[in-house]
Amino acid sequence: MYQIKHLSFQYAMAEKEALRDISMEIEEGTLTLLTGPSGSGKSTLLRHLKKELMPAGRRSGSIWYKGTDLKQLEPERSAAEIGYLFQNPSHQMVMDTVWHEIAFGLENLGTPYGQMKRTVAEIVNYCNLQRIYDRPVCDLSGGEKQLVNLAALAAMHPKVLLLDEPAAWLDPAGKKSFLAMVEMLQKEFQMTIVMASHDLEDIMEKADQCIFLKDGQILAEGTPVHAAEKLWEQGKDMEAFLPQTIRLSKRIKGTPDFSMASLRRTMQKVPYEIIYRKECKVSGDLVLKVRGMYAGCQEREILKNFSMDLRQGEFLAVLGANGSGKTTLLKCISGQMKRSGKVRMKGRCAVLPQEAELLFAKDRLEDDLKENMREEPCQLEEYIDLFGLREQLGRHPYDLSGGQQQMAALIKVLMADPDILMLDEPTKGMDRFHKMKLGRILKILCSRGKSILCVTHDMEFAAAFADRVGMMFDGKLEGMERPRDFFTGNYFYTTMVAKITRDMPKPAVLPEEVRYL
Amino acid sequence: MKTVLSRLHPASAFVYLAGILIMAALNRHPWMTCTQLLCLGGIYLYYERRPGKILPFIGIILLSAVLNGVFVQRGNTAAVTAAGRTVTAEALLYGGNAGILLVNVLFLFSLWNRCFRQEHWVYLFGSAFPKLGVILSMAMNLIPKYRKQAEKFSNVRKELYKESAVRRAAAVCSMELTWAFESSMDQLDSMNARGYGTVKRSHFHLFQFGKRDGCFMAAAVLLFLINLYGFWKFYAHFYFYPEVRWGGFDLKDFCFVLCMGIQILLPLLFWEGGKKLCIR
Amino acid sequence: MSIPIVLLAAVSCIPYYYKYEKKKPQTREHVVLAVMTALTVISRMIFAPVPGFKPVAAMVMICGMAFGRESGFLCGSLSAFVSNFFFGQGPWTPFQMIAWGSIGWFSGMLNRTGQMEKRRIRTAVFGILAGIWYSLVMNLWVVIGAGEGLEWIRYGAVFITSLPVTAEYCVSNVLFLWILVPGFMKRLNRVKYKYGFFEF
Repeated sequence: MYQIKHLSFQYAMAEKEALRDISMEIEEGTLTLLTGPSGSGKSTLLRHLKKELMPAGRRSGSIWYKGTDLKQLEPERSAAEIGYLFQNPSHQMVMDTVWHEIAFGLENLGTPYGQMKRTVAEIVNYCNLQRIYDRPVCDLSGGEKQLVNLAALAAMHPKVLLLDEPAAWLDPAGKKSFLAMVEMLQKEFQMTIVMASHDLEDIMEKADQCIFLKDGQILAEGTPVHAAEKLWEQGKDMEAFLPQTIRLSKRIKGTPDFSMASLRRTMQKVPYEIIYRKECKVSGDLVLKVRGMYAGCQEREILKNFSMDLRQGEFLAVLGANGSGKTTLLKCISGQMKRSGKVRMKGRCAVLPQEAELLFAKDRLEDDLKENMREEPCQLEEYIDLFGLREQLGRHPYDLSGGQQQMAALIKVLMADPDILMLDEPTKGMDRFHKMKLGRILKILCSRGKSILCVTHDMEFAAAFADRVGMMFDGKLEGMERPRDFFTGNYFYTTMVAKITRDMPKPAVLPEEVRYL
Repeated sequence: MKTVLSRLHPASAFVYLAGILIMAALNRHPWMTCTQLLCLGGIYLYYERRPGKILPFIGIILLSAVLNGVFVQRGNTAAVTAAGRTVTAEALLYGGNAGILLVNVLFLFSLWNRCFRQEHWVYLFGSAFPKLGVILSMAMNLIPKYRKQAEKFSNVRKELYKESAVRRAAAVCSMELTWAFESSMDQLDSMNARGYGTVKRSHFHLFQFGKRDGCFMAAAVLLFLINLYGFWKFYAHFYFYPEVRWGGFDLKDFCFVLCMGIQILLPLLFWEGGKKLCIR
Repeated sequence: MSIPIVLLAAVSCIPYYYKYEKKKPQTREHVVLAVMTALTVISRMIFAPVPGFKPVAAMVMICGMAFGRESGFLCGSLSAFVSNFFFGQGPWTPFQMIAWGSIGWFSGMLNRTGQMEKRRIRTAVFGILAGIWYSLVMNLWVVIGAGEGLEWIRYGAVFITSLPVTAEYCVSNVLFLWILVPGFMKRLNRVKYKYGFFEF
């Protein structure tokens, strides 16, 4: 389908090359995964596969699409045959209602009305959009929006789908249904799919080809198993990008394996020991005490008789599926939402919102961080070094990568000098490198006496860093134990490794804890 | 009425409403204006449900009559004489009639806004001007998005900083502006990627022009033409000054008044019936 | 006498729209127009509780100054039309469309010769003129709505009675232009620079 020969590319204003001597082939009807840390050139490479989106800059090498030079491809053909899905579900939507959004591409191609109506009807039924097809797009959830975007592309009968971090902004449920739809399109219509993603969990084993980029170069490529093997050899930094099952199987078998069943069989046979992460019980003063809190409207109470304690220096993670009231909890404690019940708080609290963009007010990062400071300037300097943003100070906040934006937003929140830090989904859209960094920084903050309340979907993150974990159910917190007890005690709602090792004498939570004897 | 109109094809409904608008703007003859007032006022009252709502409109008519009576000295029949000024009956009548005209137009637009939803306008505009129609749809997509985002900006700042409302508003405006332009870039890419502007666009919509819509439109046009003929032949030349000359009310007048009434109440003839539909 | 004027106002945007339809579409222009229209409508919504004191004309003028008379006209007229989806259409809609549209068009014209964004006094003067112009156009429909025809005396009377409102328009225009122009221009320059917008 695609043939890329010695592609190098440098952005107009950049000093370094974004892509260096890339050569690869993409077979028709396959799923190719482009992966790598953020800033490695995944999106740049993906944009090169679509004529209209090629960025401006210096380029050498050639890209062939079905035997024609991509630059020579007719615009109509390019529009119809190559679909491109962007990362942010809502920014890429053009029209005001779902049906119009789906028809937008067809309108652009000048499709006759009758045929257009038939196609839209088909797509709506195929993608299960009957309940939302006549709604305004602003009423949809992120997952629904991304499904509509995919449906809008599918309506044009593309041969190739290019997906740029399509699931990074979605919650687990939305991600699941989205990936199922992608898989269906590939299986049933032999669409060629190229997906850029830094999160390999649940996706890697489905791919036919994996390409791992670093600093604009191909680091590893081949089948998932092959690529994982190669990546493993690159050392600890790169190994962190692999999914949990691979990391576990490399530790106990030496070869990568995606299958949970065979991993379970192996684990039962081989000897291993578990080195648990040091979990100390935090015994600081009580900084937040919530008793009998209610929130929500009369018909549907979201929080019911909610009680919770948070100690100084403690990192508390609250897990829960969509709509379980996690965000409501943060809003209630911070006072953005009406509540009843007793909330006693020592000191100030501050919320880090899900979208880092909500905090940026100035045109330069440095000015932005200094806005409305309550802390000392030397404190700011220290945070900048701790978060590793020194080199980015002169840039526009919107030009930073997603992970960097999140870090910058966290500094802004910290500059308001809160005693209790509340994080809403802090790892959303971050690659694993940034996740680990964030986790370590949060631990440092805890040791300095800040308390952290973090609501998240990310179980691995909670298992690796939290001091206590609970899950939301029926408007209350259920569980509320040390991560080890919580995740080994859960049967369904737990980490991959805990699911595998569940019935064994020594259950583990994270792959890093397991050691082969 | 509303259900009938909003279920019709927007073009039919538009022709019907525009026809009434033109008739309401043209006619000066009291019989015609009063017929329109009765019909449109009836519709207005039916939907408002509260008789009190009509008081402001009566106020407009009375005010217009009094103002015209006080300021305009033309006319032969003296009605009231006070403080050395004579208020003529003609001037009062003229003012009242002008007030009725205005009220008719306001009633008509209240009905218009009731049965014409945003998608009707977008459809009509888009079929007349396809490119501007796209811009209209895009704007309709962006407006709620921007509103939500502004609320989010404001909430986050309210929670994090203690600052005056004016400073917060300024910060939120500035943030919103940056965000609006930054986020539009994805939209631009997405439009380019889906081939916007490569070939002549077609226009997609969910409205179907059926037989019913055709009948309704034909009826609306026919009635409009009859009334236009009536206006042109008989009712265009009606003068209040120097004195009102009533031509008497004969069969011809009765027919045209009836026609006007039917033109306005036309949707009732196309009502499918059924009890459920009556309830809003 | 009044009817032709109403009809004229209603159809006066149409030739311009038609001309725009004939042009080859520029996706970038369309996106900017949609964004500016949406922002203008939002600005009208925010100030909905304060009668007369609206940043709409200022926004339309900025659009005209930054993106040319055509974009200015379309932004003004479309904003009037779209915002009345929320405030209710009426006989005033065509007048608003033409009034704001022409304000956008004129600001585009004037900025072609001089650098509007740097000459703040001139911008302020233009804001005042735009306020008066808007008032003149909007008074037309008040006069037509109330009388047999367009009488100059009546028109003058209405204009004098509406002087306070006119003053409010002027003040709000100048004020909002003063506040909005620098911020807007800075951001638009970034957009133009970063994404290669409007390379003329």
